This record gives sequence, structure tokens and C-alpha cells, in this order.
Amino acid sequence: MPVFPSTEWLEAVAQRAMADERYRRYGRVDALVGIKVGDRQFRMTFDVFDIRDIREIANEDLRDLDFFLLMEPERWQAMLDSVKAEGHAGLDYTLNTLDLKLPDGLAINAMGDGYRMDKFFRFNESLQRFFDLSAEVETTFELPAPAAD
Amino acid sequence: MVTANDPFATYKEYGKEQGYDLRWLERRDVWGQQLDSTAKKGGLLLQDVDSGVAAEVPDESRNLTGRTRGSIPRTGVPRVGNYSVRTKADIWLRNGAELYEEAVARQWASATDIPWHTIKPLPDDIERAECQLATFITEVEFVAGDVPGKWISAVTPDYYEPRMYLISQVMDEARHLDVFRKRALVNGGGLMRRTGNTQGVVGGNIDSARDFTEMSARLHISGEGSVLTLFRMGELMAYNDAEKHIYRLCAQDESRHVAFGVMHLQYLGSIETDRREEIQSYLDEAERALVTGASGQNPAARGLASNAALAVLLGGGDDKVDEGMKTLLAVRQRQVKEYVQRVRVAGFGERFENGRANPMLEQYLKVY
Repeated sequence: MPVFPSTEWLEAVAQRAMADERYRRYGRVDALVGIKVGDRQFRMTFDVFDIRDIREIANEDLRDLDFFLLMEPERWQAMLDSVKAEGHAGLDYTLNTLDLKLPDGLAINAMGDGYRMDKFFRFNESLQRFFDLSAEVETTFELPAPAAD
Repeated sequence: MVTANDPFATYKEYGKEQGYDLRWLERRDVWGQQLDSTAKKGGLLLQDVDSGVAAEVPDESRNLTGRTRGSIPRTGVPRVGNYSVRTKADIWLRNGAELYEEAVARQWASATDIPWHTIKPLPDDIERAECQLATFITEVEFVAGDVPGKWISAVTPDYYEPRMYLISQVMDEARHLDVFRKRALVNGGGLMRRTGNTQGVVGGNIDSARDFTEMSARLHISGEGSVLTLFRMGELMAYNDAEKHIYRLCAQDESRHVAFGVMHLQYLGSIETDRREEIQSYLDEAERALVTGASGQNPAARGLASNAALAVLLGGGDDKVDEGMKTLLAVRQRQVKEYVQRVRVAGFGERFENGRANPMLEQYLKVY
């Protein structure tokens, strides 16, 4: 049972997204995306319909990404619990709503590059579908997430 | 000298002897450089194929004949295009081909990609407000298609990337027009009151732009920027999955349009520094429209029927308008914040430090 957050968990969701007709229906995605949960950071390369190069990275490597998603560990769990319960994110937990409601937003470009950050909006429906597909993954949580050794 | 194993040279020699003009058979600079179309998973993109002379974008274009960039010119061809946009800086951006390919790949259809069946009967006040907002957006999107549409045929084919991008934008706007028209009519509500007052109808001042960048600043940075924020906030006032999808999908398209405007301003501002003051004046105007709603493009602007409709939707009914107005003010604040960020990315952020920016922007950020 994949643990969140981990590369295994992200790979399990990525496998489902790559095989998902609706994910492909939304069109190509070209973005370097990260997630930050507690002290741990992960990156993914969304390359057209592939999602590859999933790995844990150091905090300073976040600057190489188009954007990363940052929330408190408890909110990550609440979002994924909502996805699991409804089969998709509930209204309060869609990426867009979280970005609007969090004081500093959800999506961040570490270098303040608004153009790269805008990819969060340009590919939003695909990213939402990605996280919605986590409903199919049996997830256990290890939160808060300390930095890996 | 013609060798027996070079049939191309043999034909040329033969043609020359017979008096034929076979210059059109000349091999181009990329002859024999076959591209590996299987190497990239995303298929063959415009930015992949353009190389050699085809990739050379002139700073100024004298192409008035519709000649495809990179093709061999010929004499005696009549001028078919009265292209007024023939200077690269006037329209160029560094990622025009990329945005065009993205637009093409991420098209959607309102008929099948929206779960219309999730729309159920709503309370009358909510349905009326939905229909009023949908009517306004339909009107806005009509203009958002018309305005770039007028410029397409004014752009020389030498700058085909932004030209084709504008064509994709017109398609996007048509889809927005159709999806909001459907929303107004699908649930037994109907199209409501049109906008337009003595200060000007929707899009009136965008239409009068004399320069492409002037139009782009008004449309892409100011108008579409405001509408993008509104679409992003759409999830907060969606009453079913259909409306959530409508807003999210429209927001994706809209963010491409805004990206075009931002990247164009960034390019122009870095290449033609003597035009920076002119661009700043466009931004002066954009800010006046942003804070006063004078452009008529911003549905959240005070005094418009769409503003009241938004307050009803965000509050949750006629009797919760005050609550809705509070959320609406947050929408306005976010519109201003996002505008400021875009102008900074475009390279004109100094106006927020040197006192040039409209003082009401700061008031918005402080008060709300």
C-alpha cells in the first residue's frame, strides 16, 4: 500500500493517469511539477502524455521546476481524503480552490517567474484529473513528512 | 559537368538546353535533413520543424504577396495582402509556436466535455443570476473573438506563429461564447439583460486600438486577465459539476490568452526600448479600466448587472447579497494582485515602484 508522500505513491497515480482516457482527452501537458509535504519534496516531469522522472529532491531543487504545490501535511491529507471519499476532489479541495483560498496560494514558482507559474492554470484540468485518480490508490499516510535520510 | 549518377543534375541540364526555367527544382537548404518524427512523444511540432531559412524571422517584412515564410520568392506576383503588421517587434513573442500547439492540443467541446446532466433546477434567484452572468460573458466573448480576428489578416505571413495563435484564440472565444449561451438556456432560464451604457458598450475601446500592442494590452492583459480571475473564482459560485467544468476549462484557455499578451509585451519591451513609455501609457489606461470598470469587460466591476449577479451567486441567494459582495471584493482584490504580477513578468514592474501605477490599485490591495 503506497505511502503518501513517496515516489511510489506518485508513480502509482502517474501509472493510472497515463492509462486514463479522460486524462489524455484534456490534451498534452508540458510542465515540471513538484509537491512539497512537510520537509520532503518530489518532482515529476509531465511530458505530453507521459509522467516520468519522478523522484525525491532537495529543497533547493524546487527552483528548477515550473511550479510546486505547497500545503501543510494535514491539508494534503484532507485533500486526498476528499478525493477518496467522493472519487474526485470536493469543492473545497480542488487545486484551483485551494490556490484561491490559501493566503500564499497553492502553486509557487520558487524564482517568482509568473510565466512558468501560469502553467498551473494552463494545465489545471489535467493536474486535477491526476490527483482525482489517486482515489484508486490505497493510500497510507506518514505525516508530517520528515526529510529523507 | 553532369554525371550519370546524378539524375537531378541531368534533368536540370536537359531543361536548360530546352529553354525551361527549372529553378523551382532547386534543392533547399534543409534538403535531405529528415526529421525523426517518432523521437518526440508529443508528435511533430512547429517549433521542431522550422529550421534553416524557414526559421529566419525577419525584423521587418516586405512580404505583401502572401508568400509562406521560407519559400522561394518569385517575381510578378500581385500584392494580395495589405499587411499593416510588418515589424517583428509589433507582434512577436518568444513562444508563439508553443502556445499555438498547446491551444490546438487542448481544445474541448462544450457539447460533450461538460456534464450537462448535473444541472438540476435551481432556486429562481440563483438561476436568474447564473443567466445574467452567462449573458454578460457571452457578450464579452463575442468581442474577445472579434477583436483579435480583425488583426489576423493584418499580420504578414512571415510572422505566422502569432498569426496562427490568434486564429486559435478566436476558436477558444467562440467556444466560450457557445458554452455560456448554452448555460443561459439549458436550465429554463434564458438570456437576460445585455450590457451597455452611456459610457460605452463591452469592448468599445478595445475595438478602437490603432496598434496591435495597444489592442493586446487592453484585451490580453486587462480584459482577459480580469475574466481569467473570474473564471478561476467560478468554482466558488458553481452550483453543480457542469458549471465547475465550464469555469475550469475556460480558465485554461484564458490563461493561454493572457500568456500571449504578457510574453508579447515582454518581447517588445526588451527589443524596442523607445516604445516602453508608449506601453506604460497603455497600462495606465488598463489600470483605469481595472479599478473603475470603464472598459466594460470586467463582470466584477461596480454598476454592472453582472456585478449584482456575481454577488447573488457568491453569497448564495438574493437575501445574502451582502455576504456575496464581500467575496466579490476579494475577487476584485485578486484581479488587481494578478494584474500586478503579470505586468512584473512582462517587464514593466517599475511602475509599481516609481508612482506611475494607479493609486487605487494599492488601495484595493490594502483595503480588501
